[in-house]
Amino acid sequence: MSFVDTRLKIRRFFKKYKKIIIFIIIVWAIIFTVNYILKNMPKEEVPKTTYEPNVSVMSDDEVPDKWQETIESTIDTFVQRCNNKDYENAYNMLSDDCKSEVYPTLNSFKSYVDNRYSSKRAYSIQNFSNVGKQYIYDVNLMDDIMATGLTGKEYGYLEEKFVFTEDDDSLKLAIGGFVRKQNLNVMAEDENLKVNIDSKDVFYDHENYKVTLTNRSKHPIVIADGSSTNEVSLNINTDDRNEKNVGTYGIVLQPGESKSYTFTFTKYCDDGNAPQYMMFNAIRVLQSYSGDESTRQSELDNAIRTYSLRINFPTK
Amino acid sequence: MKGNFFDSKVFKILFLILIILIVVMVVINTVYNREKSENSNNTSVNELSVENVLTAEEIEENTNQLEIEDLKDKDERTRMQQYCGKFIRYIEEKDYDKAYALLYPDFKNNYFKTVEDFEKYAQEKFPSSLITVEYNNIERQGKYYILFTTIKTPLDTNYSMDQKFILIENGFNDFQLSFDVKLD
Repeated sequence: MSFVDTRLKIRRFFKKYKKIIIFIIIVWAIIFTVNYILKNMPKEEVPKTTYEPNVSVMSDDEVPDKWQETIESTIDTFVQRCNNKDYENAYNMLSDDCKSEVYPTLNSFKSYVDNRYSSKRAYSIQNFSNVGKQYIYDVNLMDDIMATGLTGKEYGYLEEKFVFTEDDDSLKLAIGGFVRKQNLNVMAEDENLKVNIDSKDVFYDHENYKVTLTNRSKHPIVIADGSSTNEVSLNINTDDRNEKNVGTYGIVLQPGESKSYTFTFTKYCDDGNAPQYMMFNAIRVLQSYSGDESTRQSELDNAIRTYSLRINFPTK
Repeated sequence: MKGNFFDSKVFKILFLILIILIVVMVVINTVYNREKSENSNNTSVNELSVENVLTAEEIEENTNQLEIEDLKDKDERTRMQQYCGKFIRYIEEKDYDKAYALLYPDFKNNYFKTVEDFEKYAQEKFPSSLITVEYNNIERQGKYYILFTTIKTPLDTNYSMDQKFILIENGFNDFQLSFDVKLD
């Protein structure tokens, strides 16, 4: 191919695609110019700080940009409403589950507000941890320190966890560390005992299980009397957690009797472990039960049966 | 056919957009360069012409500008200490109006309704001259900075006052503060 041919080909190409080439050049020039303008727009310099309220202190991940402003303004509105004792509007900001499980009545919420916001509060926020589409914030409430200058007071604050849950295209707010309610509907039974684990309330640092126990035998059954610390426990894969309060009140079921309890176990919702099973480690089916400390050992010696019961949670 | 594309609406619109953008680009460039050269001139010229030429407001504005430039490469702790130092310097120089202006409005309303109230308090509690500030600790709570300090003076070795300052920074050299008032 001669030089002339090549030249002609190039010329023909440019002639043929002239419009497209000019169009591309103009569009490219526009993009270049817009980019230049944006780059050289005068920027307002803001002081650099190490404060990153929307970056998790636990894992360094950041709350999605689209939610940051919503979260900050929601917390601000909530705190201001509590400061102004605007109980009803503040209460209506809470998710339905938080309302039903933590503050079932407006009065219970009022008590919370009056207790926490006894004087006008200032606050600071810090994203603490994120679990899936749930964003957990530390909200530190303190006196209005700018207005008081800490006059006559020591520096201190009340810490509370606010949890935002992404639901479709909105966020739901829960306070008091409440994360979510989960229906379980787990049932286990043998010839003596029937155990229904209906649901659990997950809080940031503990879980509350709602359990109904039914004595199916013709004998009294002692499930807990504080004689050991692990009468009721929860396995969370890595270790067993003992129920926190059962030893203080004890669980005794008379023949045919059914009672409901709330069992509380320490568990952090962002520890990455799922509860595997609940254990009743010392079920005692007795001939008779008096509740008297002096006869306790003899009643136990005459027990019909002493055993443990494990209730597995369904794996996802 | 040849002239069709150049006569077309699309071409004309694109060409117009391009011209407008180029004009904006030139304007921004010119303004930016002018500001830059004005800023750099200011610092050198000021030193030469402070004596008679500049008004008090201009001097203040220039001082503020210099302080801002100085603060830009400082970390949070240093900036807070400089802000606190500025407040103390005003008290030391008995420039109570300026010190009072730095106080947070609600704080003023709570403890010093007038500048005279503040002046009386400052004269009573702070050393009359040569005030030194020892910065013992600093804590940050969101946008609030809490500085734990001890106020001293070399003129009176017996004098020592623990003083907490609370600051919020809105921008460079733009801050408000309050402090724990000694009520006794």
